[in-house]
Amino acid sequence: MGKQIELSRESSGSLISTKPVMTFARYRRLFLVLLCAPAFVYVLAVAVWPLLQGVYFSLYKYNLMRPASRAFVGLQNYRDFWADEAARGAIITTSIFTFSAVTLELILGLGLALLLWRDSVFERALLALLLIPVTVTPVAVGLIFRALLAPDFGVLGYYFAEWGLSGPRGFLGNPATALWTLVAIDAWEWTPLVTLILLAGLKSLPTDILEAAEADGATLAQRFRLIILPMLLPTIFLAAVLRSMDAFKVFDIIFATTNGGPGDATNTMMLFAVKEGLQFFNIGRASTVANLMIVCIALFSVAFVILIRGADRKANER
Amino acid sequence: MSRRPAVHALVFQRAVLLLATCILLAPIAWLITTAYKPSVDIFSFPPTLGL
Repeated sequence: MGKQIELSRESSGSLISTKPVMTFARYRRLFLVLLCAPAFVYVLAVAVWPLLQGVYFSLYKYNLMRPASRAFVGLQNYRDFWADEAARGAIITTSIFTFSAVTLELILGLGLALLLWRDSVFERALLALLLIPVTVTPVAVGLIFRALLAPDFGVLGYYFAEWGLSGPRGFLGNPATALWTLVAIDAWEWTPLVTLILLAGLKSLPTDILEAAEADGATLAQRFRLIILPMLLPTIFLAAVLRSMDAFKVFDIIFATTNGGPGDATNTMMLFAVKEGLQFFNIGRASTVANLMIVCIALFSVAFVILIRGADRKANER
Repeated sequence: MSRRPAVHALVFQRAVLLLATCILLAPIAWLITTAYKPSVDIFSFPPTLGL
């Protein structure tokens, strides 16, 4: 009897020792995991799941007009995309648009930021007014400029056509000028945002270095080229990344003004994808274009991050 | 003597800023005026600002 009691005590003792103890650190970790869980689920549901669906659909021949005839085709959609002349044209158009718009916005934005650098009521009031175009929806921007540049009733377009600056079809109706007009419209909307980012970068520059250079007799151009520009490079690259990613996905402005025309002159990748998906209901091909855009934007971002790190390291060495 | 170039530069700088602001706000101003115009005035030929 006594032996039995001892055994049961031993077994119960061993049970107690193996039971996990909820210490404060473990409670805290569990609490933090639970705090993160909604964000994690949200990202999975809103970002990761649609991405995986896109990759899945791109491997199928899938048309919503014939949903029953869905068939696995592997990488055939990607091969068809490269073989399609219109698709290759869309890649070139998107690249030209992105490069031109971002370059123009950076040049104008840097100029405006330098002019607004002085901290006074006048500059602050103008900055607030300059930011108004950023607040307008891109579709509304497209509609405004389509109305303004119309060669028959447009306040600007009529006189441009009358004075012989544009053809009788207006800037947006001419394949040679349509893309450049869209670049100008995009620059009109987004230059103030680039100005704001660069102005924040300018205001965070250490003033003692600039004052020392001024005291040493450095001219304005020398100070800009040798001090301001190198120290501002990380901010410039940041603005370039943000704008490149956005310009590469441009849709609203082009949809509202030219809808990809005249011909295919302004047919960007996003417009191509939307037409494939929502006009021809070809979900497989639309997903293929969307996936390629994601890859392009990811490559952009990686390249820019490497550039930013390099520029940052150089700025710190100085 | 040295203050004059500084004042000139400030005036030039602010003139450029005002010009840029006018260019950036002109389409918005046109949008606002259009909202208060009858459609006959909006689609007049030749088009007028008709403020």
